[in-house]
Parts: sequence; structure tokens; C-alpha cells
Amino acid sequence: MKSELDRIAPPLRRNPVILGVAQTTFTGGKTRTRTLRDLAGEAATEAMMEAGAKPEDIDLLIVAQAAGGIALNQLHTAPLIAERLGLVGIPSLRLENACASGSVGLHTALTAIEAGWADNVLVVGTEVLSGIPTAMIQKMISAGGDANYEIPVGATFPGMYAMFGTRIIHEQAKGNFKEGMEALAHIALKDHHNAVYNKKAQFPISIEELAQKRGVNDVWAFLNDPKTNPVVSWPLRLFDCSPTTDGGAACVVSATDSALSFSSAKHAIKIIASAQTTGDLPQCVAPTLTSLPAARQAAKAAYKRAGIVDEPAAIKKRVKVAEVHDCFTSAEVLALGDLNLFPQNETLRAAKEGRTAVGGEIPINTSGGLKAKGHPIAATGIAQLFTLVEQLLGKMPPAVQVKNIDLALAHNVGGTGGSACVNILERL
Amino acid sequence: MSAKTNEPFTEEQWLKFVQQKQLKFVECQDCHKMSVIPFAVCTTCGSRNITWKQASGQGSIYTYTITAVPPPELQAIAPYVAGVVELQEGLRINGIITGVENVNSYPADLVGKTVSIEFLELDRKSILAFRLNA
Repeated sequence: MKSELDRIAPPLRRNPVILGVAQTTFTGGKTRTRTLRDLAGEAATEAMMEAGAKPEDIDLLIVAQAAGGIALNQLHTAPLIAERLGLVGIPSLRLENACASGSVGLHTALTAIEAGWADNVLVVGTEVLSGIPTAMIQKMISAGGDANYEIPVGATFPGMYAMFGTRIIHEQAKGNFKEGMEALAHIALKDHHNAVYNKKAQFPISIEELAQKRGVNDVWAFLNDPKTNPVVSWPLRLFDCSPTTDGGAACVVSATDSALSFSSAKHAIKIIASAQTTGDLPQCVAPTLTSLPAARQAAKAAYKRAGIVDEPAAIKKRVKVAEVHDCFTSAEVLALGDLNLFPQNETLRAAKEGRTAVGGEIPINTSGGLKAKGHPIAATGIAQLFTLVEQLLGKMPPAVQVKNIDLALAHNVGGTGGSACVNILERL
Repeated sequence: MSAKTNEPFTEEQWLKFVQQKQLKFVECQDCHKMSVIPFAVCTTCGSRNITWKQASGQGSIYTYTITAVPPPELQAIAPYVAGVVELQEGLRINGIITGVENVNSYPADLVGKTVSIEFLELDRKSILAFRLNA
């Protein structure tokens, strides 16, 4: 039997590197302007150009795609996208682990490389959710939950993340919802501050500026007004929720010993740990609702594989920037604890005190996060890598560029923690 | 599995119980593992000595939310309270929470409040729910 570490975070003996990574602009709205193939094609072409990869260099195509079957009546997306990229004639697969699909795609690419099946893998995430009726969107998002134990009893997706929020507020703020919800709002404010500098974000605007545009100068008056920030599922309000988004992201991953690694790529980013694991579904069965045990387990394994001591100060000494799965503000609070960046009982306070802002102890979601950058479900995990690679290469706009980076970390969750991935990157 | 039973240890059977207004769970008679997700072979000890148990229906609210934006099927009862209830047996289960006054004005923390099982009837379907004890 394999050890837990080897099972969750394989040893990566062929020293895999990201040679190219790209994302499209993220957009939303009522009118559809791009297709799954358009978005995948745009991101993948850019990633392949950066990697210096021609179609004949790619050994395997992995397509991360979540909602097409329900929302667009489109399955079989791997050949659909292979056709666009000139990749007909190689193995391809499409996978779906809800919002973690992109990271599970990367993890699967790494296992194919580890096994020697492939030297160079193209991973593409693509999602189209615009132009789809709201009821259909709700149905599609619910599909990541449990159709028999959760959905019939009114546990919507915002509802389930609200229930994490309630339990966290109960334990950390003694049930003081005013205080708890204010801390959650600080996460949304911080994410939008970062998104201002992200040209590819769906909402590159601060909440302060949004409020002013609607004639409100006091941002807290704006956030506490049920007309401008209505309850979606108490204690989560509109500005606690990520939007529905169209977007694509892609990366070329290679073994260091492959010819492609050292020939035409402009740069290489090493993946020093990639952990993937499974948590409880339905949510109610999980041993706790103030943590996602699968994310905690993935983080522990990733730290061990990367040689990082699993203790808040030691982690922050090495990991200088992180993109975490903030589909709702309560999800970012869970991430801060599950990654052990802060003690479990201090996560709300850490968010409120700005310790996760640029210039703080550990900048979180310098892209704007899922909240403000947008959340094209299956593309999200790869888009997180795009931002981290930009950080590691020093290519972020100065206002959000983190200095003296050693390592960068991505945390991506599927559903309510049924799937969880943690990846750690290092500049070569 | 006992030869006489026509109540297989399946999810389909669990759903049938809910339609009969019963909350049941499986228990392994050897290692006493309990689960609201049924299994015919114990996922802990491998025993086939499994039985259906009726839940007491008494418990307390582990966490909850007040949903203002409902799915189409629950439009009629919105806004409603959805929760995770910790049963006396130690198992947790999702259900609608009823009997909460002033749902629209967001009452104080309900975590830990005791509840008793009931079933709502909506579109001729039975829905698992728990009523806040007076």
C-alpha cells in the first residue's frame, strides 16, 4: 500500500515544469459572445506559443470542463477542442471535478508525466455560462452538490457556503453576525482592490468606486444597504458571492528531461508539489464545517512534499503569495485555516485586519480571486496558475506585485470540499 | 443482508423511506458504524451484518442559513431556513428548518437550538424537515 503522501502528492520524479500558461479575459452577462472552443482555443494557443510548443510536441490533451453537458448540451469536449488546436491524432480526455476541474486536470497531467506516458501535456479549462437562463444556471451549479441529500432540502450552493459561514461566525465571533459579516465583507473589498490592476478580470473595479458610481460615498453604507447588497443566503450577501463567468485558461506542462523543456520555452516554472484528494459529499457528513478536511489534507501533503514545516510562521516564511478558492467570502476564510496560514480560530480576524492584503503577512488572491476576477468553473484552477506564474516572473502590475517571492501556492476546491487540490510553484 | 428483508441497503430505499416520512440510517451490527448514506457491506470493517435503524428525530442545529434566493422547486416556501441537524445518534443530516419566527429580520444565532423531525409536503413530495422546539 502506498503512503498517504505518495498517494495524494506524488513524488514528481521527472521535475515537471510549466513552460507556458495563459488565460482569456473573463466576462459575464446576458449575451453569449464566445464558445467553449473559442475560449479554449485562445488560451491554449497563447500557452503553446509561450512554451514554444507545436501541436506535434503535445503527447496528451486534458480538457477540464464542468457545465457544458447541462448548460450547453455539449459533451465530448476533448475532441471538440483538439480539432481547434490541430491536436487530432493524440490521446485526449475531458474531466470534471466541479470547480476543482482545472487543478485536477493539472494533477492528472503530472501523473501521466510521472508514469512516463507523456512528456508534454496541454491542460485546458473552458467554461461558458452567459446567455443561459438563471434557473438553468442554478441547476447547473447545484449539480456539484448531492442531488438526493442536499438539493431537495433547499441546500443551494450559496446556502451551503453560508452554512460554513454561520458555523465559523458561531465559533469565532460567538454568533455575532454583524461582526462576522463585516469580516467577510473585508475579503470582498480586498479582492476588488486587487482586481483593479487585473486587465483580464470580470470586475476590475473597487467596491468603493462601484458605490460612488451609484452616488454612495460611504462604502459601508453601500454594503449594509439591502437594496445594494441584498441577502442571497444569510449570512452571505451579493458581494460575498463570485459571479458566473465565461473564460478559458491553459498551460503546457513538461518533464524537465523532455526536449521541449530546454529548447524553445521562454521560461520554466517548477511544480514542486501537487496534491489532490477527496472529501465528504454530502457536506453534512463531514466531521467539521469550519474546515474542509480534504483541503487541509491536501495542504499538509503539499507542504510535506515541498519540504515546508506545516506551521503558520514557517509556511509564510516560504510561501509568499497564494491564490485560494474564494467562490464565496466564507470559502476564503476556510482556505486561510486549511492552508494553516493562520490558526483556525483566527481566520476571520486575519481577514478583517488586512493581513491577507498586498503588503500584509501573506497576500491572498492578488488577481482579485474568484470573487472579482470571475469564476469560469473548470478554468479557475488553471487561471490561478496564470497569476502565480506572473507573480513568480515579476510580471504583475507594480501595485500587486509581491517582492522576493520564494514559493507560490494555489488552492482549488470542488463543490463544498468533495474535491481539493493544492499546488506549490517555484521559479527555476 | 437478512434474506427476508425487502428493504435493500440502497440510496433508492433511503429515498423511499423519506417519501414514507421516515428518516432511517444504516448501522453495522459488528463495528457499529452508522451512516445516512446506506451501504450493504460496511465501509469500515467489511461486515455484511447491516441493519436499517429509525432515527430518533431529535437533534440540534449544527449550522443553518436563511435562503432568500431559492431554487424553483422551493419558491413557494422562500425565504426558508435550511440547516444541518446533528441527531441525538451523533449523525448529521441536511434538512429544512421550520418554526423560525421573523425569518425576514434574521433572528439571532440558532446554532445549538433543539429541533424535532417533521416532513413537509410540497408538490406531493415529502421533504425532510425539522421543527424548532418551543
